[in-house]
Amino acid sequence: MSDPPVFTRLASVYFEDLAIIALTARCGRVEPVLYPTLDDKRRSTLRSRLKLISRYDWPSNQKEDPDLRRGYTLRQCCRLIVALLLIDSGVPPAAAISIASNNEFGMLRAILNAQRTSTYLGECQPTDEIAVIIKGDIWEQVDELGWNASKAQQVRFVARHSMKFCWSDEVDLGSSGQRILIDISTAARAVFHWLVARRLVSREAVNAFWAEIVIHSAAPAFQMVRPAIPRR
Amino acid sequence: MIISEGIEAQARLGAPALLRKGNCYVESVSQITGFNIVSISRRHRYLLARIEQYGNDGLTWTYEEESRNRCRLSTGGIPPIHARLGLNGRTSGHLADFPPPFEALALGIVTQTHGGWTSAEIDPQWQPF
Repeated sequence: MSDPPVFTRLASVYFEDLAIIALTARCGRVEPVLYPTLDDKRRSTLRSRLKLISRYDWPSNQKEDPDLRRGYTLRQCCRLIVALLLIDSGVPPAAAISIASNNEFGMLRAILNAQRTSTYLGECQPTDEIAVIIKGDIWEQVDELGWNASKAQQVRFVARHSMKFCWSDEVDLGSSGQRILIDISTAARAVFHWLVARRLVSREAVNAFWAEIVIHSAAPAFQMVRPAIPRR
Repeated sequence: MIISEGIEAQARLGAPALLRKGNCYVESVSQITGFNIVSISRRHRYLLARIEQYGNDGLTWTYEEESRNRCRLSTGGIPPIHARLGLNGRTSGHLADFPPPFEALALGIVTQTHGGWTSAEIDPQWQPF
């Protein structure tokens, strides 16, 4: 006789569902989707696009996490959400994963903040943090000094009701240039609601994960790590 | 047989041998049985179903066929430890108020799981096709 499974990881069979939930999350949706449906052909296309992410050893690799085959931990789920949203906004996978890994704790804190405010999907919370990314691929080539000064790899966070600060020195963003905005709070709220409502991950594991983020409160929001390089 | 062929078609597309909720076969079985069938997978020629049944307050019970000899029935609430031990060998109707045919399944080991739920091992019954 075996012990019942311990639900600290999301089984990898739900990866596509997680992607659909994160990418289709919308504020104001009263009835959250628990069973995302997609026809076989589109699901197959989605699956092949999602496979790209694992080529960058994201959210982890077998060496770093030997239990990866058993599924994704909640921290890895958050890593996936961030990478998916960035790729969906047009950032190339290598750059998206580089941004996600360099700003992991900043993103995790934004997700935790969204959960503290509300776990209800019904309306947008004004205090939800929106991730603001300065990419500037061409800017980097024509004005390297200016681009370096903008700290383009560093994600800044602006509350939903303070979007005017997206072009403001108050949050160290400068007054001009292009930005990519990622609504990480809504996506994470939808995913965590789905995980708990369907009991795919235990509520105890979710609470332990929030506590883990709080424990790491001293960790810097931005930390330059090695840029993501795809495996051959 | 049709469902098995449907899974075969999925596998040919490089997908897991699994039909999800929203697939026409899964929806048909759900409609006929009245249960919220979430997925039907195939493993070693066995078709394995997963049911997640909802009440007014969310998920109320789940039935999961994991393999040929492993099947689990879970429900909210935790009976006291002495009652839990006594459930071994009795029918699932003694654990909670399940609809037929789930009320007459023989319970194996009953354990407490996460989120204040109870999970019981079931000896699955198989139909040849």
